[in-house]
Amino acid sequence: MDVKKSIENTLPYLRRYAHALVSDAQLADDMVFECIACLTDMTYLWEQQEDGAAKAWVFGVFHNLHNDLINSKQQRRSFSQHTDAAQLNLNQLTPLQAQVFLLVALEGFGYKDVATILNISLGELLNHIHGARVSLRAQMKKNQLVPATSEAV
Amino acid sequence: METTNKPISVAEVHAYTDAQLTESQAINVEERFVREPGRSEEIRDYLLINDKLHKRFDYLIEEKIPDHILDALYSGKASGYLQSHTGNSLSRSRNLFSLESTAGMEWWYSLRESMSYYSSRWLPNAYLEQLKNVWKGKEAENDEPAPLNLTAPPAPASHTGPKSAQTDAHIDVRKDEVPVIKDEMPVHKKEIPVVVPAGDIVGNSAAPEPPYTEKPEAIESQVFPNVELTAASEQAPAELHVGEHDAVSEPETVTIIELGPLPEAIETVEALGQPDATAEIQFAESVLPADPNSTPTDNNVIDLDDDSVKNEAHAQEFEAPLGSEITIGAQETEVQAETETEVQAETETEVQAETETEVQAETETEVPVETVQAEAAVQAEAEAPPGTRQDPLGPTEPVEIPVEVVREDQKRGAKADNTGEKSPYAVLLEPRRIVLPVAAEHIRRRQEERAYRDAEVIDHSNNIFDSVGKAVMWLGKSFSQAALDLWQALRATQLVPAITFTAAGLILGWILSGGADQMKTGGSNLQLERLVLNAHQFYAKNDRSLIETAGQRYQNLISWLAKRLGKNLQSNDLTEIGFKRVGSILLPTEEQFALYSIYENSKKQKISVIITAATMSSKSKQCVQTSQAIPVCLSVNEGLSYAVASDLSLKETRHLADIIQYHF
Repeated sequence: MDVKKSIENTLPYLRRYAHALVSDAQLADDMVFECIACLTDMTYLWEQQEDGAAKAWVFGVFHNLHNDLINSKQQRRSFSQHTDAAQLNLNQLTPLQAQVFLLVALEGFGYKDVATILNISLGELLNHIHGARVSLRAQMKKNQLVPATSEAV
Repeated sequence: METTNKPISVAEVHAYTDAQLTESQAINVEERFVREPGRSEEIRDYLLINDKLHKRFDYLIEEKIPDHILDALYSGKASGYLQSHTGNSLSRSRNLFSLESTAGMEWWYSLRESMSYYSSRWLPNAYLEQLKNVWKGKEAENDEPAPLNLTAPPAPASHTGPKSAQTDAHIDVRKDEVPVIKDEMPVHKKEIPVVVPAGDIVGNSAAPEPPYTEKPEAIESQVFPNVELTAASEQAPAELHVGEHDAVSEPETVTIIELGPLPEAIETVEALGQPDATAEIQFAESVLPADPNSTPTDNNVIDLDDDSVKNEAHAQEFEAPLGSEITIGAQETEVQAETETEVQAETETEVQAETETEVQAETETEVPVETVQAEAAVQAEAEAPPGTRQDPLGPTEPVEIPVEVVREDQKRGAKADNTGEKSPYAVLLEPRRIVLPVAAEHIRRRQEERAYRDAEVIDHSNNIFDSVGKAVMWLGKSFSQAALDLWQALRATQLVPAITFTAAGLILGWILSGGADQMKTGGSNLQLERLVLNAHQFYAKNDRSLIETAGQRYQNLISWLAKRLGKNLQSNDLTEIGFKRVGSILLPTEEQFALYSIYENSKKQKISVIITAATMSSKSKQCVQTSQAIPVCLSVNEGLSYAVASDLSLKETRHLADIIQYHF
């Protein structure tokens, strides 16, 4: 399999994930760019990957870059300036909650893949995804985006 | 079924939402939704959130990927983009190559790729193998920029067909495991540069063709090579000796390069050592008496032990033909044995003489007796015509050294001594020598170093430490004399016993008054003072951290601390003097624990009291006004230390401390 072609196939999904995770579009593209720069330096490692795990591997590299970003105080401010048009304020979530939730709900990764990408256990993953969904659901109800429970029943 | 009776778990809810369950598990969960409508609503909401998320961000799947990202992927020109285009500092280590963002740096990319190959040598073997595979794959693709090429872009055919012999200095990056510099120049050219030191330009083209001996490493490592051209006669093949010469010891690592006949060799060496290679040319041949009847021995071997040969050579001119060999008998002196080995090793009648050293020394005693060759050379020089000889060390007059242990003289007996004539055997042993300025400079430097060293050994008078030592001794003498004078004066005044008893009394009184204890426990006192000061500022002055402890809890603290300290503590009540206890807490000290209590009067003035075990036994008390305007009193009574800090004045605090230490 052509290495660079498979990376290119992954790029749209990586961009979508980055834009959802980091509200700043420019910053998101920069992170994707940096991720690609890292990947091109490691193409010899890419060849060792199986085809199915390739996408997870790219996201894993991106995850490490993102962790570096949110660990630096300079970027934290820009990271927190999240204005969401979908009225789903992902910024209320913790970084790990947002990552788990987006990887599962938006990118459709399996739980095991997400656990591998983020280097967490399955129980931890369930904790985070539950916390993220409960928080977002409460947010939706607060904004009355969904009908009340009594009416639904 | 048992599973259907279980309530739906949170994990099942999320797994069902994210389609992580198998088909049977999913059906099982769906069956239970009937009994748990709340869960089904939960799942519906979660799916709704997922839908919103996809609506919000799915446009990015269709969007065109920015060009600079694709460029980074396919051309590898990722580095430097972030800094130059966005001003972002995401790229930390890669910004080292931010220069690349400027246009027209194609050569830099190719260079970096080549460098990445070389850097792979420091990678572990596994990574190295992977890298090699990648490089092979790149070669097959043939869409990568060209590797490092020092001369010109490689011809396309060079990858498939054999390399042409005309490509010179081409570093082949891809083919071999270790890059090989293919140099088409003759090998012998590498030996030549050692002849001239740094700064001089070596003309490689002037060197004659092989045969050459291959000792490139030994030659290139020479810092001060000594070069010497020797030849037995005008027609004999000359030898160029390159090596490290020591003026005293034997020459080491001498490389012999055979040249042609002497005149051509001289020209060659002169060409090598430009511009000052006109150097020293010392001919000893003119010393010889001319005799046309001289004949070489049979087999071209001259045996010096043969008397007939000696006699003939004494009266006749002897000229060694080309390729003649001289063997010296073993019954000669020790010095001759050395000479024999050297001569036979080099298969020529040449002498490795450090003649310059001997001439410069100008003393008879410094001539090593065993250096027969050197003395022979000196003798030859002394008798050489002045026009053909130049001293490399300057215009020093030749010194005639009486030859005592010279092989030829011993063989000829007193005849040579009486006549003073030059021995004909010296002809064979005397070289025609060309000493380049390099060697002369080297030898001169050695001599200067030796002279300096000798002078250093002899001259001790200028040592600076001598004067310092003298000054110290003078001062010591003066002080000791002054002390003696003082002691004499004291004895004269009969005051010695009085002074001694007074001093002893002072020291004893200081010890009895607890001064030693205070010195010993000074650290803990200071620590206690700081502790009460900080606690007062933190707990008492700050309303937010004010502690409040109920009566039972206070009793527990008192009993706990009493048990730990091994003391009998009682609960204290200062209501008699108008202070009500607010709260208590245990604080750690360096060694154990302390009970800290806050008291408050009707005017909301607070005092802080710390009680802990004392480190000293005797009573003591000290009150200070600290820099924070908080008076602190420290006192010790019956094995307990008290520290009091208050909002009151220093006088009131001292009074309080007196009361407190008798209330516990």
